[in-house]
Amino acid sequence: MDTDDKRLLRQEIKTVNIGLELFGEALRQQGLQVVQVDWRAPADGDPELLDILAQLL
Amino acid sequence: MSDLKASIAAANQETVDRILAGQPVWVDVRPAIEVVPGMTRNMVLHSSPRIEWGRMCGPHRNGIIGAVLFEGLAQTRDEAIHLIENGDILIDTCHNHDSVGAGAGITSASMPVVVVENKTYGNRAYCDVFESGALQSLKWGWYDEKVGAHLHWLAEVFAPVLRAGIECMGGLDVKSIVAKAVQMGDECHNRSIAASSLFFKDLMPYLLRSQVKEADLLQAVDFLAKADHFFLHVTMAAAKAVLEPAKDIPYSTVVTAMARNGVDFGIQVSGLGNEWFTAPAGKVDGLYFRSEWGPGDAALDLGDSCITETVGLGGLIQATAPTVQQYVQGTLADAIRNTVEFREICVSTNRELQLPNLDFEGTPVGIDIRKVVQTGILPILDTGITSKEAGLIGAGQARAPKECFEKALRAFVARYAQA
Amino acid sequence: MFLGYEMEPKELQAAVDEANQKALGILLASQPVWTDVRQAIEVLPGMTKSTILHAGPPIAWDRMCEAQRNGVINGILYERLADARDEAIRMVEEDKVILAPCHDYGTVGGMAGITTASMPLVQVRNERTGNDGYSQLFQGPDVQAWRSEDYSSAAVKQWCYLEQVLGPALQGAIRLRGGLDVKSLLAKALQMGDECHNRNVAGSALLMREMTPYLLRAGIGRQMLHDSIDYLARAEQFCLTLGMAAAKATVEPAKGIPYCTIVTTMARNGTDFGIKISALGEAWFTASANPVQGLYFSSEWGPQDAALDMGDSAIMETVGLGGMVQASAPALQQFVGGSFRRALELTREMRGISVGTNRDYQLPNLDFEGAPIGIDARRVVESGITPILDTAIAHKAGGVIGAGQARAPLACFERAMEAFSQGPAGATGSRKATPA
Repeated sequence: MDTDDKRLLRQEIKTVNIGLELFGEALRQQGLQVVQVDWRAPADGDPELLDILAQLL
Repeated sequence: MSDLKASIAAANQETVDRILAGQPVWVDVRPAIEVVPGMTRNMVLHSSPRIEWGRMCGPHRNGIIGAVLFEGLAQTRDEAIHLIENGDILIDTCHNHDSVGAGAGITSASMPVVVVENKTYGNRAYCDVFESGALQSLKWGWYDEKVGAHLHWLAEVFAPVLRAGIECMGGLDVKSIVAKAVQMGDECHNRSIAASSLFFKDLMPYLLRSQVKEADLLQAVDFLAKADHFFLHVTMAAAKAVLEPAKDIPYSTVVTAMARNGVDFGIQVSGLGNEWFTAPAGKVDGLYFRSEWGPGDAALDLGDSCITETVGLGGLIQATAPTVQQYVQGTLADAIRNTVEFREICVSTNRELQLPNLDFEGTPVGIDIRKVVQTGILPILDTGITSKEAGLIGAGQARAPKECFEKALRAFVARYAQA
Repeated sequence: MFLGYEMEPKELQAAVDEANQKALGILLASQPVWTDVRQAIEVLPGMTKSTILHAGPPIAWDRMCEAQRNGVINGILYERLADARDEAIRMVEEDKVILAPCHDYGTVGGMAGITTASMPLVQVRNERTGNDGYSQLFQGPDVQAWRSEDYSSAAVKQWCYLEQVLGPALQGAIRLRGGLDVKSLLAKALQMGDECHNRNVAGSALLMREMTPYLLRAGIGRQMLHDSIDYLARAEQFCLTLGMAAAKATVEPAKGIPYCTIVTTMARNGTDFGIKISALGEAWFTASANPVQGLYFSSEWGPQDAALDMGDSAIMETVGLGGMVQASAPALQQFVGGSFRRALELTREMRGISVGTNRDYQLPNLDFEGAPIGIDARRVVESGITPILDTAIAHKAGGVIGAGQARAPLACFERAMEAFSQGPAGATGSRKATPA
């Protein structure tokens, strides 16, 4: 297991960043390839609307 | 899937099928009093939703006063206001009379309207004839002697000539013009120059053969030759005509109208009938035509013209009209991304309207209120910027407010879901 | 490579760069205005009653392709120099008519490009430099590729119509209008999905709005008015006529600049493709024309029916439009099984062989960057990337049967640069074609 972890970190790392762009930017500045996913919480996280959507969608 | 979800899916599909099956044909041009259902001599219509006189924005108020003067119902502004406040002038929305109106949407008895018939279902819809490209026009709430004289010319000289041409043509298939125009850089709301040019070209051979006085013909041709936005008003009537048969489908969550009056923004949903779900209208983000104008001078978003976005034109297909992006300093990439995003909130695509910049994929159609609320993707409307008082001062874009869709969603679940 | 010049390579390089910038400046400064409609015999220097002009570089009768030969024969019949095809052919064989390129007489012709004395031409003046470019009104008869005799009479009838109806009508209208700015028309069309060679539907519709008020007031008879309006309402390619004359008026002042490797002409006659470069004046550099890749308007036609690349319309690419700006007209990608991305890439590729950017022609699909302009023969040869032309496909016997694209042959540019490398002595300004 130890060996697997080390191998992983030596390979070229491509990342997908979901959410705060700040995290993705930090990785970019270290020369990594980052794809920013445009993700928003469904219904902005509003519980009432989420409840309604669960019934309709 | 629950029964409710299945019913919604089926209803939405039927809604979109009805919209797509529509065959809007421009058949006539007449004074509003002759064709608009419920129109009376002392009535003035404006863009939706309904709003009391006291709450109206400047362009609507000034526009209605202008219409009263134009119709000769009053001789001065004070007289006009007096009549209005007394209730002697009936004020209603275009939408309540099978019509739509661009800008303040001011429509009164003598004003000519285009008549579009949806041949598939037989219903008709109306929109005021393009008034003028001037910044100071009644459409934007501006009325003075010059505007009045021009409105008289439109009603007495231009409209009869236009009518004769359309009659000679045997009607004009609106969809076929729109299908070409969206391949020529028009999104058919803020940009209709291709549609207007194609219409001009198609009309001319017939106009020449119709029985009109030469002097009138020359004036009409001169006007049309300069009218870049002429076709917007035809597109709007056609959009209204294809949406009408898609209303009142039980269980449908598809938007059948969007409109704003400079104070409120409203939407209608097929499964919820004629009810408007409103929220405060938003600011329009864009460019001002003169350097002395800025956001401080602007009214909020107004007009029935977002009936175009409702059928999947305008701001929903910015990818086809990068020229319109210039108003908000956007790029083609922005425009494409926006259009691709709107697929996520729409039920289907319209294969008859293909976008070259998206390798000929169809336009998105059938805005689903569930998806809007879930994704947070709000329809973009390409639109003009009106002055707080009267007159057009810029152009740009606005988003439909999310509160409208949330309100509609709550009403929907209240009506259709088990407790 | 530049052995013929008494200069260090670096010096020559600098001289070429400077000359190319000069040519670029001339091309950019062009102000083409449509001023008139005139008959060829009235305005083309050296034109005679028995001169038959054709598209592309000079070519001997026995090498001419069938479509152009048919065109020449029809032209002779139209001018009533002969009464029957046989007679017409004999006249050519007996040297009783002069055959020459349109280009060498100040005009351009699309497809076979047949231009004869009585034909009406649009006159576009370059207001900056005072010279005129001309182009025929004729884009091809409505009927496509009939049997020879029927095609002849259809073609002649169409030419008569242009001479007697459309020509005079447009002449009256444009004179009344006092001219029309062609550059601003094309600039608008480029923002409406036209690339101004294969796709002109926007430009033609805009033109109709510009001209109808004047046609109505030009004092032409009712029938002539109706016929003209009907023609314009159907003729989606009409704007190309103005674009070509404007392009011709644009390139002429850029010819004959010493050391300049900018391409001033590209043209084809269905057999050969010919180019001219500025430093070498009127000398043609030719190679075999290429086939056109594209779609046919009817399933009855295919590549076996098609003529090779033909027409002077490549003057549009010469001034940086048409195939040079495919990004403007993604609708055309359907003809070549391409994509929107491909259209953008090709335009960027064309930028690579051009020396400048035309800010008067902004491309919405490239976020309003200017169109590429000034094809540098040097860069073409160095990169191996040749200009791409959007073009119609002609039937072997004549008539338009499809649309697509073709590449200019590299050999033309190689031959031009070889002649250039011979030194100033190579710049003879000769009108003769070099052997293919």
